[in-house]
Amino acid sequence: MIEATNTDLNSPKTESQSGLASLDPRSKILLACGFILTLSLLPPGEFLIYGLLLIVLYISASLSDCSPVYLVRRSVIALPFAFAAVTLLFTIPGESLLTLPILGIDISVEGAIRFASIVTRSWISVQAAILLIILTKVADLMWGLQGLHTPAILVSVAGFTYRYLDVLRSEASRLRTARQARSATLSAGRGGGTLLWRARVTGWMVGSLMIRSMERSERIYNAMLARGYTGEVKTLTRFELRSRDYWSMLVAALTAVIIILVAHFL
Amino acid sequence: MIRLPIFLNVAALHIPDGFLSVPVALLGLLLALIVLAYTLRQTRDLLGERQIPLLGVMAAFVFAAQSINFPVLGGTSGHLLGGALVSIVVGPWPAVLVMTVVVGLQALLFQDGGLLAIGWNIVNMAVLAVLTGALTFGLLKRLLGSGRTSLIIATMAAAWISVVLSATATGVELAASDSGLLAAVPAMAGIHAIIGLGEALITGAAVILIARARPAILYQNQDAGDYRAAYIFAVGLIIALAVATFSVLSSSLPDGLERVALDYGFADRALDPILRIMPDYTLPGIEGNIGGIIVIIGGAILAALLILLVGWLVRHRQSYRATSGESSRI
Repeated sequence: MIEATNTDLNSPKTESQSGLASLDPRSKILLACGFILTLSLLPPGEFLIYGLLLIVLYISASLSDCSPVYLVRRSVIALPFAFAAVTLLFTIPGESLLTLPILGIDISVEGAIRFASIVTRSWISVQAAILLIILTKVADLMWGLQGLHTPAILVSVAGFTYRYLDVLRSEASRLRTARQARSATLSAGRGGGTLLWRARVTGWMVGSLMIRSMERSERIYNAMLARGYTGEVKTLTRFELRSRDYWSMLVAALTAVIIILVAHFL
Repeated sequence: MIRLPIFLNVAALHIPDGFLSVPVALLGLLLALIVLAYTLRQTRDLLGERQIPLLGVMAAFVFAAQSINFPVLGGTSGHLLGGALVSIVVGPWPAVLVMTVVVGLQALLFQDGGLLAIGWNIVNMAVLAVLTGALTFGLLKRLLGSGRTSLIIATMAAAWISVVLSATATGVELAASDSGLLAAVPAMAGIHAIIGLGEALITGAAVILIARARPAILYQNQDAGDYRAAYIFAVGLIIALAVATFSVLSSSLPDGLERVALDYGFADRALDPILRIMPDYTLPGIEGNIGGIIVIIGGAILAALLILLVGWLVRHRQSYRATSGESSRI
């Protein structure tokens, strides 16, 4: 029950300072976004090039002391959405690949290629995003976002959110434990009571969690005032763009342009 | 930690990278930037340093609330999306900020939603859901008065509409990127019409609990920014969504027509544009979807007109009341 939270914060963040990990957070954010943009700019069906980019990603991960296996393991998060692309199999016109036995619907070759391209690109993109968060501490990421001109309010709100994420999650998990202790469930895994009742109980839990959160935010604010908070969050993090940042971004940009040109014109 | 697709998970609204075409993704980023710039201007005055911890904790609350599962049937369960709830409790503009932070952190920390797709994810879940929720809640509260029943109805309607509209928008964005994903529009809207019921029940119960336990919380944010501007924005977004659904439909038909042309051997593309709106034309394999889309477009336009009409009536009545010296109910 406790592990029902859909995300884990305690991922093994490498403390490595090699490879991409040694770059400025701003460069890492830009590189990740550029990588994903490059993938999105490729035409469908270029599986060789997708594979090439995936290998580049895995090599950069390995050079930064992050195992590609971990990237693959965490990337299953993107799987459910792949179902949204399934219709492509049937709606893209073209030569028939196979006909579904009972329904008599054709799956076209073009449709299958488009489907596989979208799912593959989406899967590789997710792994790039995972690599970014593994190689960047959250505080550094926030600093990088501010450096890239994300509005300061958003960044400081996000900083607070990250700080209290685990606190409120354990609050929520205590609520869940309390619910489990008090409401009978059938062995088939069905919750007790009617659907309406279960929804109401969930709603009450959410409501009381909200009240607790707001009261906690009052206490947090007072505690921060006591420590000299003036509305500005100061961090010790300081980075500057060094030559390796410029070089890596230059090389990445050139490679991206070449790959996109090759994919479109060769 | 494999998340099974049997979860009636609202995470289905987070568009990952790879699904949106680059122009569509960039349009979403641009739109998100514009709305955020406006939101920051709206909230600048009410955001003292006191508000930042509150909004941050609210965003963390949304994360935590999403981890409270609602057992539906068998092994499936759903959870809260939260846009309407936050919007009702802290006011529309601060809620846009809270949900933007939630969507942004979901993408950055947990890869729930793509980095390039973040523009549309913000527009869908942090702007459209929050503002249409606020609009529905505000209108219904005005129409139904200030009793507890009207609070429940307004809250539940706001939650349902916010989920359905942001799901429809997600479908439209997918279809605009790839005409083969046209079926995503009715699929998204249909599935979330059901998921929205769960959202409505949970949000309704949560707001009732807050109204009973700490009524002050519910009413302390009545002056949280310009509600009128939020309503106008929401109406604009709804109209834009209706128009987008329309244009996605009409621009993706030629694809199917080409197939017909190939099938019948007259592929020289000299197709009369009038053919494109041929009423009895259906895409092979997804018959009925066109009907569904037309229903959605019709519904969206009708809803927009209705909201405009109701809004006009309310304002008219208010100004009438103001001139006749009667005090306003709100």
